[in-house]
Amino acid sequence: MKKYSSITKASFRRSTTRRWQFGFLTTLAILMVGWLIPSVISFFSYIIMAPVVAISSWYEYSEATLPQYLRSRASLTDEIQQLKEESVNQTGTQLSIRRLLEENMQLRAATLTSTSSKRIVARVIAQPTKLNYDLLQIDQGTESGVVVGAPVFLGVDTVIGVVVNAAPTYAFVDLLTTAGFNATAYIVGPNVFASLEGVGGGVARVRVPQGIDLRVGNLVLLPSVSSGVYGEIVSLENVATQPEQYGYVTPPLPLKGILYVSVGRDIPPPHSESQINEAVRQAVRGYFKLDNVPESKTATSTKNEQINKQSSD
Amino acid sequence: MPYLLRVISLFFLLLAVISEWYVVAAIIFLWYLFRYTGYELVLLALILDSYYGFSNHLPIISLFSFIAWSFGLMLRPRLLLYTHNIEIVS
Repeated sequence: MKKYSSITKASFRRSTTRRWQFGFLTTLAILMVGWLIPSVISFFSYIIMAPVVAISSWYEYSEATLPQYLRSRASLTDEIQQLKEESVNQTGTQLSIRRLLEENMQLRAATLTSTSSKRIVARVIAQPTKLNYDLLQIDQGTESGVVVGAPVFLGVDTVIGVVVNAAPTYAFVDLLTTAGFNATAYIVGPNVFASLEGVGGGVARVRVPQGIDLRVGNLVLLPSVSSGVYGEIVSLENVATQPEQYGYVTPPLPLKGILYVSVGRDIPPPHSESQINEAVRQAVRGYFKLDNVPESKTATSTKNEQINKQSSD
Repeated sequence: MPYLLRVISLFFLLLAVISEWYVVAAIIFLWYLFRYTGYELVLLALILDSYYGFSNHLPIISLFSFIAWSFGLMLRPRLLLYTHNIEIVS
């Protein structure tokens, strides 16, 4: 049976005062007993606190599975979170280091080229993703000797474009992959000259008639500007009913990865047919010669072998 | 059943204080204070003070709980929807 006490607002006010007085007196009485006879309170405290202390000690010190799991879970979770953060930081650091290394290599290559062949080293400050067309913006301009029409190289002899606009402190470079850009290319493999036309988006294509054995991996040269390799064919488009077939060529580096380029100081002079043929011949022959073989290991260094033989005898 | 719930909540309050889970203890304390009368909280505080040896120092836990209980007692009529003159079951 429920115990009803019809308490209205008015009567509750009196009841609150009575309750408070009761609570105050009870507390005071227990405190007095506790001070005067501590053993009484201690006895009751011991009885009530015993199970609580037992459970608390079990959680903190027990070697059982559950308390160990509960204790170590929090610390393991924190450690996992900390390790995740460290891993993310390290990945970011590794990426930064890799990018810096790549940039360093490009700069070294560009510097070597500029000192040996008197080119202007320039940093790419805007790339096709920031510019509307297949354009690069470089940080050198007419003040540094850049002229409109000068070829732009990646590395030693890989031409990638031509300067189309030069301001005093910067210049724009039209890439060979710009839609509508035309050049003459030489395809190693079929060994034919073909028309290279830019498609846009960092891709150019060579157009050859049907019947020519065009394959993925064939090297493409631009003998009109340099004797170096522009790129290789990465994809073919060959429809049997069409009179022509296409090979798609991409630059050696992705456009976003081009950080440093070198700019020729002069507009390349027109080449005669014999000059172009000679340039192509030199480029093709050049593939069979390795530059980094030590002298002592080559057949021509008999003098060294004789000296070594004498010293061993 | 309601007494069992009260006993369990008081037990967990003691466990939380002993284990130094003060946030949990504060939540249970406040909930008990406004759910029930709260006398038991003062008694529990006295037991805790005795456990920690209050005879040598001021029983801070008891004093704090008594003040909180008094405050709760003053606040309860305002928190309960006491504007209507209806019977309430204690």
